[in-house]
Amino acid sequence: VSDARSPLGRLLEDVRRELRPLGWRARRRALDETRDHLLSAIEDGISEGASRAEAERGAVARFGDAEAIATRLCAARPRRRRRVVSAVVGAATITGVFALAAGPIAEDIAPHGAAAAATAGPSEQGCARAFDSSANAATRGLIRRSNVLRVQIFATRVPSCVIKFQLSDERVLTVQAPWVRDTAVGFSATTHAHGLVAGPNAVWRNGRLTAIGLLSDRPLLLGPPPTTATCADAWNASPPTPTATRGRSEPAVIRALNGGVSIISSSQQSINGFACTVWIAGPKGHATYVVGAWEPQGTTRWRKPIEASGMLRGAIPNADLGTDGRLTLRNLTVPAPQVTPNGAPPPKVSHEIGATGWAGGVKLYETLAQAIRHLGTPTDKIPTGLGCEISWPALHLSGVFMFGFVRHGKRHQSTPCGNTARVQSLTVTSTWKTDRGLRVGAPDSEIGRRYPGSTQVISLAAGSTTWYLVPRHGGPSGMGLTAVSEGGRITELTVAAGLTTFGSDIVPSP
Amino acid sequence: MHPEALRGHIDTMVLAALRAGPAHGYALVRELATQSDGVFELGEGTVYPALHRLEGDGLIASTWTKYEGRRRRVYALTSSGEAALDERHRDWRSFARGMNALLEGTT
Repeated sequence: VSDARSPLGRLLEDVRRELRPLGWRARRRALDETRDHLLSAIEDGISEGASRAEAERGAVARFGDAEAIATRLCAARPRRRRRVVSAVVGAATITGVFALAAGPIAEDIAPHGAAAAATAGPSEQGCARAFDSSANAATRGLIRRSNVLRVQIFATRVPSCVIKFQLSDERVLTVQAPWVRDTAVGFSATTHAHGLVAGPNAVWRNGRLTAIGLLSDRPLLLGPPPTTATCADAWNASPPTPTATRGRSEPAVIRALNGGVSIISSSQQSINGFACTVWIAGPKGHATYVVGAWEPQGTTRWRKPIEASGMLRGAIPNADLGTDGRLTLRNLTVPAPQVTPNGAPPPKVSHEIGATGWAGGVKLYETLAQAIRHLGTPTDKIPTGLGCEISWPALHLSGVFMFGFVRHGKRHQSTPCGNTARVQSLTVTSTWKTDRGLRVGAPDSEIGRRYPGSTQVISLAAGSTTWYLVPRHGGPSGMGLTAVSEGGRITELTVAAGLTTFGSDIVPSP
Repeated sequence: MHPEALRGHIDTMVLAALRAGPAHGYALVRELATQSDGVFELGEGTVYPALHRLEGDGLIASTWTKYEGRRRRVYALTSSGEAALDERHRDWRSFARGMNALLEGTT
């Protein structure tokens, strides 16, 4: 990760040396935290436009003097609870090894209803009982401090227990532990991802987990996904409490979240669901948001998330929140198209798309200015609230761009359609093919041959089928390379980044 | 604000930031800077001794998560931490009231 001669490498080496008075466990913890902090800061710096070297120098400078911090870390060594911390670290290590061995969770989750009864492994009830045992008190304590809306237990083939807790701020906290000798001990949080639990099959109450088996043998019917308009309707039909909106007349950004509903194996188990979010802009660019999980009947239960404050600078409001608490959609105007000058030939672009995040020379997270250098001037820019759909019809390529990022209180002035907006997904049609030779227009049967690990996804549009060709390792559903087919033939290919929200930011997961 | 002026208050600031919800160290630093509109810009590393000290005192708890293949420690307020934060808030209000009265009386 770091060169010993680089500023990052030197700082880590200094911290390591100064922490020698601590035991190896405490030293490793401090080093891991320092490394994670610095890498996060460097990623932020790069996303703000700094070079890697500049970002690294800035991160190290902001971190402070290694010797002074190490001295304070030694002095701050926990005086109580040391045994509990050690137990948690140990459990995390065991689970971390397990997680690495298991690979992406989605690939290993399998139904454990009647069809799986013959195999040795946990049941949903067994996982719930194991999670409630005193051996998992530390992880349960962490969950107790979160606002849990829904819970879904997966008893997997590995065998292991995976439990997803839907938190009130549109995040899913996943805990997992291997199933050994009829129990699961050492649950630890492994992912804290953006998304929703659509198929609750357990109840979390007073710090206890009870499996209720809703998904054991019946399909989950989600109905059509929400749209901006239906989210607004749901809001107006059943608005959240006045404290969530403050009842002021302010612009709002409505976002219909498609949480990437997916079928795992042949079972009707789905992982993520739908939601509406409404961001309400306030003074100085600060914003709060309210999230509502989308119910099959087209209703929502609005909640103000725990971490509900943030910045919306650069986003384009698509609604207004009246003093009566109702949302009114704006009629977003499309900016005048920027047409390639007559006679200017389109640039030479290789019509290939790759799962590692590129298409025609454009890489995910690049800015619009960089994309234009590869592809020429786009023809259409359509703002969609938090994003902007930008297309190059002559190249049969379009992308979704997002506004710039907010870091350290700095306000970036980019808009989703501006030159510093960053590309989050690229979709191609017509003459394109993947780097493994899967062409648009090829029959569905070609998918399995070129991508043996591909999985089929629930269709959101009638008559079409979506395939995850190469899921992004460790990322939420929908990241990576996907294909859509209609009438048995591939019609489009998309490579997408993931978005995870943490606090006030929208953070790319490169 | 001068770092020395902040030093005695880092623990309280960290507890206050965690009241909004669990967070890892880097997110906390960002939150402190953002919420204070850039006034509280700490030497970022100084937050970790505070976190470890507060955990040792039982005011916060933590667990490992994985993010992009690396280990990330996430901290959350305990019930003792919430009580301690309430107490510190009361003390701060009392201190601020007295200081305001003093400063306003001398100008």
